[in-house]
Parts: sequence; structure tokens; C-alpha cells
Amino acid sequence: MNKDRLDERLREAARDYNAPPPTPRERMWARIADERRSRRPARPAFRRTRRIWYPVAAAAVLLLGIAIGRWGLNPTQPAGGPVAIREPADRSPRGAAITTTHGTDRDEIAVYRYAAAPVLSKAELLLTQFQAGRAAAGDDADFSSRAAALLVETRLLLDSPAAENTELRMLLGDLELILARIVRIAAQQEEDERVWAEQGLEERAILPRLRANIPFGPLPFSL
Amino acid sequence: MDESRLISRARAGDAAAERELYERHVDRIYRLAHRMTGDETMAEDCTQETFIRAFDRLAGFREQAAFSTWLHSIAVSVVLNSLRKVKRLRSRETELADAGPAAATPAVDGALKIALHRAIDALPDGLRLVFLMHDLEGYKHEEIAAVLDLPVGTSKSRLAHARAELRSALGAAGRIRAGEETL
Repeated sequence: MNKDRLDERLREAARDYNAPPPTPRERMWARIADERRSRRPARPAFRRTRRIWYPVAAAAVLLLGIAIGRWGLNPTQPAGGPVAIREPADRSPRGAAITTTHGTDRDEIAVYRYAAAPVLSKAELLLTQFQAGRAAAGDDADFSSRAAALLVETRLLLDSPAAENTELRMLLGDLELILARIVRIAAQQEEDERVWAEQGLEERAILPRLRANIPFGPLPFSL
Repeated sequence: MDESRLISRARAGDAAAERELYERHVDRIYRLAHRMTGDETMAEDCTQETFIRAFDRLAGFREQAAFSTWLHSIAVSVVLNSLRKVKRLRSRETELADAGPAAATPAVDGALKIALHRAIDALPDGLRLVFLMHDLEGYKHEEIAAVLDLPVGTSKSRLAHARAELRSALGAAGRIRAGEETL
């Protein structure tokens, strides 16, 4: 008998060697799922806690500091209370301080909207850089801290009378969500998170809305 | 759904995606585990352990390799470790030896099959695995080489070596049982 024929017969004779029965799919999956379920809760929580610890801690310290600054220095004023502004001497008939009181006051809301402008401008710059991929390339070392600081400022604006304007409130809400994702991406280099953030930017048209809310003229801060 | 998308979803903890990956690959993994171990319980344990390890380590899976290849390499490692621990081959030989006289009587080819199965059992794991994957489960040499992390030529030479060992074992048995043509 030649070698090929013998090998063929060998294969035939070996065919029922440890011949497998039908796969017990359901039984095995039930055990796998049980095992996975028993392991799942502990792991991601541990990883996530460690990985986002620093940005979260930084944001918390910033918020605490700002809160102490706002309410600690002037404890008699309620949150979102009166704000003193001084108009330029040449525009004020008497060159005196004008004080507006109450969060619902139109002038005050206008002031808060004016105060929101630098935040919106910084956000526009940061998101433009993000879209251009600078953060992913890792060539902007303080990208993460800028995003975290903007996140805090956005949160504060959301809590201020500036957010009484529906359009601005919705824009700030979307901005907060995107910035939170960017902080996570910068901290963890997660590609999925980046894709979601980019999709969010596009779908919510955040950049065009930001640009529409930024007043013309020189920025009242340095970038 | 595209497999790489399934893998991304499973990485994110999507249990439905894990189940879909399981459904796609479980048959081949289970069959291989059973061929190697010859024991249903052990094959089930190895299959389960393979998928549990795979899902646990999915974050580290780089998609340069096919998921199937990666999964099989885990399965082979699990099976070989189990075989080493349990020493099942030894107990199987004992069972067959105990059943010897009854099995030899019905037909000559039955006796030769038993001799062949014993000879397969006696092959070193590296040769047995290649023989079972190629000749019984239909894997290609390229797949075997990728799973075992070997050059394709080594897979082919191992198969040739395994077949030669089996022919030789059968030759000896055949001479005792009155001729190889009755196989």
C-alpha cells in the first residue's frame, strides 16, 4: 500500500478518536456568564477610579477654591446675588458706581453674558485645537488642565444667571459634556471616547454655536 | 456584524457582544478541546476557561492577528496545562488495557483502531495537536502555525512526523493482527 493511501486510511480510522459530541453551548455559556458577572463589578470600578482620580481631584480642588473665594469673602451675599459693576467714567454721567441687585435683572444677565464671553472664546479655541488633533498628538502638555479649568468655569456659568438665557444654557450644557469627555481622553488616551467627543461636537454643532455667542472685538483676556 | 466592531463592544463590557463572539467560535474550540482531552467534562472546563480568559484579556488583544487565532492559542495553552495537571492519558491507557480482551474479539479492524487510538495518545503533545488539528479537524497549516506560533514548515514536518509514528505503530499492530490491509 502506498504512503498516501495509508495516510488516507489512517485519517479514516482516526476519525472517531475522541469524537466530540454536540457542543453544550447553553450550559457552558451559563457558567461563563456567571463567572464573568461575579468578576465584573470590582474590576472596571477599580480601574476607572485610579485613572480619573487626578483630573477629578484637580477639578474638585478648583471648585472648592472658587466657592470659598466667592462666598467666603462676602458671606452676607446669597449665591447668584448682587454684583457691583463700575461703568467707565466717561460713560457714567456722574462717574459713580452703579450697582444692580437681583439675578433676574436684565442688566445683570447682560453682565453675566459678557462674563461668559471669555469662557466661550477659550472653549472655541480649545475645541478647534481638539478637532485639529493637537491633543491626540500629545504636543500640548497643558491641554488636559486647560480643559479641566474650562470645565469648572462652564459649570460655574451654568449655575449663574447667565444660564437663564435658554440658548446659552443649552450651549453651556453641551459644552460641559464635551469638555468632560476631553478631560477623560487627555487623562486616559481612550480612542473610543475621542470618537464620541468628535461626534458630539459635530452633531450638536457646538463650534458654530460658540462662535455665534462670542461678541466681536478684542478678547478681554490673553490666550 | 463585523467582528472588530463586536470586539470593541465586548471590550466596553457589552455582554451581548461577548455572547456573539462566543457563538461564532465555541464549536471549533470545544471540538479541539474534546479531541485533545477525550473527556466531556474536561473539554467543557477548558472551553469555558478559554472564553473567560479571552474576555478578561480582550483589552490586550491587538488586531494584527485574527481573533480566532488568538482565541485558539489561549485554548491550546489551557488544554495542554489541563492535560499536564490531570495526567488523563495515563488513566485512559489503563481503561483501555482493562477493556483489552473484550475489544479484541469482535473484529480485527476494531482492534487496530484501538491500537491506533493508543498510538495517537502516545504521541508527544506537539505532534498530536498538529495531527488532530490538521487531519481530524481540518485546520490549514497556516492556521496551525499561527496558533502554535510556529513556521508553516514546522507544522508540516510535525504532521509528517506524527503520521510516520502512527504508521509505524499500526505496522507493528497489523503484523500481530494478521496484516495492515484489514485496517
